[in-house]
Amino acid sequence: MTRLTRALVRKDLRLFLTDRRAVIVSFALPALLALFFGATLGGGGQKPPKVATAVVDLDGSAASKRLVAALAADPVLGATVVATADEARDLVRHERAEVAFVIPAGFAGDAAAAAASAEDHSARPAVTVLSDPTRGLSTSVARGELERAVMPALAPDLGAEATRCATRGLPYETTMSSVGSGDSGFDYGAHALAGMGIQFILIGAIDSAVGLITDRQRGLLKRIHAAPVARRTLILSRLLSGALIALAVLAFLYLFGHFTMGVTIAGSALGFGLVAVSFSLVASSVGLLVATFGKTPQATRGFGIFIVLIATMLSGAWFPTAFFPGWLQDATKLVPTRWAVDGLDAMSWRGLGLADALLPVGVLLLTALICTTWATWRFRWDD
Amino acid sequence: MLLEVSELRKRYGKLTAVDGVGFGVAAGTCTGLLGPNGAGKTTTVSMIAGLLAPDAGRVLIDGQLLGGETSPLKRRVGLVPQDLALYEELTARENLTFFGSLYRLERDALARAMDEALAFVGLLDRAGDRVKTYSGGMKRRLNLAAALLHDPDLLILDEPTVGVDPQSRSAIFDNLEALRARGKGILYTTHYMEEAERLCQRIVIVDHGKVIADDDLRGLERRLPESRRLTVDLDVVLARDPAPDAAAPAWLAELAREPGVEAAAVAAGRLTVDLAELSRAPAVLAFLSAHGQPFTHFATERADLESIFLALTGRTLRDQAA
Ligand SMILES: Nc1ncnc2c1ncn2[C@@H]1O[C@H](COP(=O)(O)OP(=O)(O)OP(=O)(O)O)[C@@H](O)[C@H]1O
Ligand SMILES: [Mg+2]
Repeated sequence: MTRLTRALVRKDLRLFLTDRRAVIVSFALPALLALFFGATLGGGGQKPPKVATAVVDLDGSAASKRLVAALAADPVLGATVVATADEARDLVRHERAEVAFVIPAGFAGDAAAAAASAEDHSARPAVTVLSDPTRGLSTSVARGELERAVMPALAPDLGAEATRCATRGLPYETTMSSVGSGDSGFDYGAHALAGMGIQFILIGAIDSAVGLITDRQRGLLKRIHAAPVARRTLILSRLLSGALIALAVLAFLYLFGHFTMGVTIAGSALGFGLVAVSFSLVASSVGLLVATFGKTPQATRGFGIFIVLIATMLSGAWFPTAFFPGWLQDATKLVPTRWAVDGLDAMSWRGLGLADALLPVGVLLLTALICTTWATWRFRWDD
Repeated sequence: MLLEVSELRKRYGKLTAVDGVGFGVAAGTCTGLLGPNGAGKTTTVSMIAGLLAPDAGRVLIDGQLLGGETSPLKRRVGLVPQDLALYEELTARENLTFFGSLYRLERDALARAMDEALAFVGLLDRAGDRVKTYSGGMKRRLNLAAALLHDPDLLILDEPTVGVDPQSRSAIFDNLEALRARGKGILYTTHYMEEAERLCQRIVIVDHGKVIADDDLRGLERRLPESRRLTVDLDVVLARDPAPDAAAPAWLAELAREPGVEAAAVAAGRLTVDLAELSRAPAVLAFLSAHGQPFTHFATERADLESIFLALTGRTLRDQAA
């Protein structure tokens, strides 16, 4: 290495190291992402997974009661009992349960008849398995547990027939039913739109934050400050312009998705609009807040992208949150972007109504308010 | 008094950038704020324009204290910042529309003010072009135009002519004179004595954050020791006895012995004579003619910031004016 090369390399390294945020982004971000993927796609503790399960007993027979008790006591399912099939469907639709079993009326009797009949079980009763389409793994686990529990529950009623079932086949069946918009199930296109929209809108917001810093460096803020303009006015106008751009991006993405992938807003259009507007405000206000922390454009961009990647990763924008370990699924409720993705999912492919938009909208608006207030408080005209 | 500044102070950490500065600008006059790099000119001007809160002292505009971000007094002040503050991606008109709307100018009034300001700085024909396609001097001129839109009573210019060619600079000066004649007050920050001399009735010299002189040009010149140096550019080719050594013509030693001449030297074809008093200068020129030494140009030194500064502080300017 020549002296010149050495001097140039040393200069580059020194500049890199003086930018502490760039260092964090370069080292910590890949490490955290690797940890995230590792924990999501297997690994991270070998405890049996928990599957949030609901069960409806429309039969009410002694056998069905035994089955319900077994499912409730099951260490994996720990099923909660609800009264109607609609209620169960609702739980799954709102992600309060991953799977729900509906035991039909006359289940025990029909099963006994099927077991006794000499023909192959043509008229077997069916347990309906309602499942969240994003939770294929949980659904399989729950079905396995169900199958282990059914025969022991029926056995006392069947008596000697029970052993014959082992060779002739089961006296019941399971029907799968996924709970989504028009029961079309998980729409990866719609989910990807929400996820990518959120990620790139946030990155755009970071760029706009960088713009605020270059405006300051170029003395443009000074010129604005020389005029009778309140900082509140400046912040609010930037909030608004950022939000408008974000909203336009979302609108474009969903239109694009509609024409290329057939994505529709199966739920409340108003709810979708509200989620979109409130997320746009979040993106814009987060950008402003990042800008008030940044000193140089480079540091701000690095630091901002770092935050954006973490936030989108935890929002379920890359994988549905259903892939996350349970504790992480709960923890991500603290991340506003999770609410944005959930809100957009709920109004698009999940096909939920306006009422289901209100909580995400509330969380998002509160986040935007906090970020804007904080940014206004931190804002300085000069550096 | 349109602007009254008193006992203004500003510290940056340990450094006292402005240390008890006070002066005034009357309507219809121009005050020059002169000082070397780092003297505290921009800091002073920033406090006057309300960009920076002073640690102590006060700024009165028409007798009123400038208070708060949205003070209506800000509309009476126009600031031309030292740094070019323009949106490079926008056209001149778009820039001016934005800066004008900061002062809540109505559409028609803004359009009129914009044409006037663009004509003022001679940019009307380029108004539709993006600023990034402008030359440095054109950007300077647009930077100036942006401060004029809201028709301020007090115009503060922080080194507005850096990089502007002599013609445009002269046009800007004419226009500033016109503004002053219309009763505007002007505070003009510069390194150049000749700019202040051309424009300003009053000159305030600052150094290390302190006012070291506040006077009119005559008053400042009176403080100078009389200029006693004469320089003469010799016409070496036409000389009667071309000296073998250009640095030591035959008559040089004799000139140095003339009455009233304290020292004489020749370097690169230029004769420099230090006189006991300026009135001896014609005798020196007569001496040269008598010795058959033609010359192309002669001059006595004039008061510039350098010499005034030297006289006031006993130091030279640490930096050459940019
Ligand atoms: N934001 C700041 N932080 C720290 N020090 C500063 C800051 N701004 C100015 N200074 C210091 O204050 C002093 C006065 O600076 P100022 O910009 O007012 O000088 P100036 O007279 O305008 O100089 P110039 O002719 O170079 O423009 C300088 O020593 C400068 O380093
Ligand atoms: Mg300055």
